[in-house]
Amino acid sequence: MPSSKPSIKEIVLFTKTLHILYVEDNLEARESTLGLLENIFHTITLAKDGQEGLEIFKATPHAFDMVISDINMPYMNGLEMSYAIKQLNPKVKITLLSAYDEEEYAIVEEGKIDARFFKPLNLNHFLETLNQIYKICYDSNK
Amino acid sequence: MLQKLKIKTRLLLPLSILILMVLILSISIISNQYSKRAFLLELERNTKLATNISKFVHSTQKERGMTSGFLASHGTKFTTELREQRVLTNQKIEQLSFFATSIQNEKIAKKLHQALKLIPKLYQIRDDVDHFQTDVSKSIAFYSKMNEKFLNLIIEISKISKLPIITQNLLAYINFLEAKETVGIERAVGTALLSETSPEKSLKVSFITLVSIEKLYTKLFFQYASTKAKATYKRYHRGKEIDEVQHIRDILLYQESTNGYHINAEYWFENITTKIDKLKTIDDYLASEILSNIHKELEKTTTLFNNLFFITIVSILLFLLIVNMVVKLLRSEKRLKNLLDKYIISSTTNTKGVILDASDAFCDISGYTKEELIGKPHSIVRHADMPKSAFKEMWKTIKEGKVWDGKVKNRKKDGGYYWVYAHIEPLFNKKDEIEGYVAIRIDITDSIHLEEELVRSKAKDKTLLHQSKLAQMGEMISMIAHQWRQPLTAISATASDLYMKNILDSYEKEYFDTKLKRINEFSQHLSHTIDDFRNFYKEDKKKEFILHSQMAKGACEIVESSLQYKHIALQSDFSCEKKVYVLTNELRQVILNLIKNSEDILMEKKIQNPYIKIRTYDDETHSYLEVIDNGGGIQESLIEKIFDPYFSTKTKKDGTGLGLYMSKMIVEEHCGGDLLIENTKDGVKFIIKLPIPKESLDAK
Repeated sequence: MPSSKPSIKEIVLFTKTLHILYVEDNLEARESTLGLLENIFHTITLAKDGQEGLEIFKATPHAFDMVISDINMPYMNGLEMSYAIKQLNPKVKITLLSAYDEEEYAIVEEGKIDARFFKPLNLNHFLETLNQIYKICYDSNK
Repeated sequence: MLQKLKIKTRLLLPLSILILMVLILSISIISNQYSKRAFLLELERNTKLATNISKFVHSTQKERGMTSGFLASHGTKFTTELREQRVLTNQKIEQLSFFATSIQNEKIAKKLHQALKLIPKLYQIRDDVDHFQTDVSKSIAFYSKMNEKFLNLIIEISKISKLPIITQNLLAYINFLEAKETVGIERAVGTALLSETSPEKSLKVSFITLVSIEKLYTKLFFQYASTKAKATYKRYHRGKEIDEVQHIRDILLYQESTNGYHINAEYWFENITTKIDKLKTIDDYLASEILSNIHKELEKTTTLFNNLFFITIVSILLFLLIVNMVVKLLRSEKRLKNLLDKYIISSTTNTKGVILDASDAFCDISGYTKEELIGKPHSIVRHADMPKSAFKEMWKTIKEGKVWDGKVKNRKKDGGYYWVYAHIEPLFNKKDEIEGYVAIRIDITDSIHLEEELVRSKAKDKTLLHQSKLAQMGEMISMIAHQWRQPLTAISATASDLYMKNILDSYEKEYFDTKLKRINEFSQHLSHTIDDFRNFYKEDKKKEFILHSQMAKGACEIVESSLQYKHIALQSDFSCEKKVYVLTNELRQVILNLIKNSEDILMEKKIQNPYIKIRTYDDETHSYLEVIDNGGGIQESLIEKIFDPYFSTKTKKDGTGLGLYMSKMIVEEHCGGDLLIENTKDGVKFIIKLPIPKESLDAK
């Protein structure tokens, strides 16, 4: 474990190796968030809803390091998709984005979700969490 | 003495109450348009019962008049007429008994049954009359008591009524009719006074009383009358003849009459008849005013209601006719003097307020016997609710020799209370000193209760309005949150993106430029939506011409994001072309409310492929807007209650049960339309039906 808090550059240095699946149904949110995520990750695959996200993931379950997904989406919501993805590949990390009033999605099964953020995304909190996840990744790999 | 000469007026009271009740009944019919068919059918039955009762009562009133004529003339007059009238009454009894079996309302059925128990006694009284085993007063007292029982039944029925405007119209009308009838009697008494060379002193006292009573009723009329009604009264109630009547009155009131008054009785008759004719004009206007008010309400109801209302009006006219006939009969009957005592609440006191005489009616209403009252101070009936200052002012006025009148709440012996409109006049001796006071009162307890009811229902509406405003505000905030979420996410993500690029030294001028512009666009969008909301919830200043579809679009824009978020499809099919004349924002809120209502049901029942469809179209006279959903519909048994305040089928805490109630109020009371609901095959359909104003029809 590093003794001091890592800088943004240090975190990005690591995350720039990751391939992620980003699922969001709203066009504006998807495009603007994509711009932000491109700074952080190596490859970003996009999906418009849970169903599409799951299909893309199924095709190559081990190509992805992480899934970032909205919760409230048509056809299949982010939670259902995440549970299905974890069954396909338990190692993949999953972070969910949700709005404050989505009480019905608040109950998450233990160990299935790695992190959860509220919209609009707080960048520092997001990076900090990535750092923690990444260290867990790092340690377990060792 | 004084009280004893007011019989004729007082005998009219039961009849007048009857008319009032029938009128109130018509209000009840109209107010109940909000309820559904079953309730209407019951109301229809009760109304028929009321008209049957009134027909019966009219018949007995006639029979009563003829009975008194028959007895007074020792069987020489009214012999045939009375026999025929009894046959008519019997027919009415038959109809009424037949009708009694169809009454479902337990309370009314029970009271009707009790009232019908008096019928065998009626046959007994008739027998006594035929054999002269009773006198005028006794037989009349029986008939009056019986009628009162039946009339109370109509009061019971009329308790369903709740239409403030018309209640007020009716109160004005009934008081006006009382006043007019008093003038009719004044005509007769005045004629008698002027015809005789040495008229009975009692006649003069009677005359004075009649003039006071007319004033009382006129005052009450003014209190309830609409501005237009007051203006009409002032416009017609003037002229040469009315001045002349006043002139002759003054002579009759203030001049001693030892040798007669030297005024031609025919001259008096002619003038006061003209006055009564003028009052008839006002009477017609008042009736037409009530009619037009009721018609406004009626337009919203079905033909069934129209018919019921028509029956009511016809029966009122019948009552008035019979009132006239009875009064004519009574006028010629001097033996009925002691009956006056029964109906006028009056008393005389000395200068200290100690009771010298009290009428039977006073005893009846207060619960004291005459012996208990006489010699006691008048404060014996004082009610603790009356402020001392009121009596102080009254005493000040009458001690100055002036007339005082006002509303007074009195205490009964048993601790209960009654309200009267009191008229107190000083009595002068020959030296022009006050020797005592005389008070005449009208029982206005029912009017006061109606008034209180009015105030209560207005206060209730206010609370409801406030609560629904609060609920609306909560909904509005939640809708804004939905509208703002994505733009805020986009702004925040874009800003973070730029921040990252800066940190990571991947700054590109052009990229920054585009992104900053995007942020600006999003901010504009936020500002725009907040303006939309502000406009949406602004209070309307006045009505305007607008298309149904235009309002629907406004409501859709507001609710779009929220529906999208919940994955509810919003479909529209706008084909209306005629503008309606409404308070735009209020109506837009109604549309929004209906959409939200459907949204809540769709979410609560977790419907697959939920949709809300908005449709607009016109026909010849109306423009329609429908909000249709596939939320499964509502139980037929609950459909009647859906518009009741505080009724909600929603299980979540946010169902206040006020939305639909307020919506209906806005559509029907503010916009003059209808808000209807019906079940479709897989959901519910709300229909806003608004009349197309002439102007838009012309424009087309």
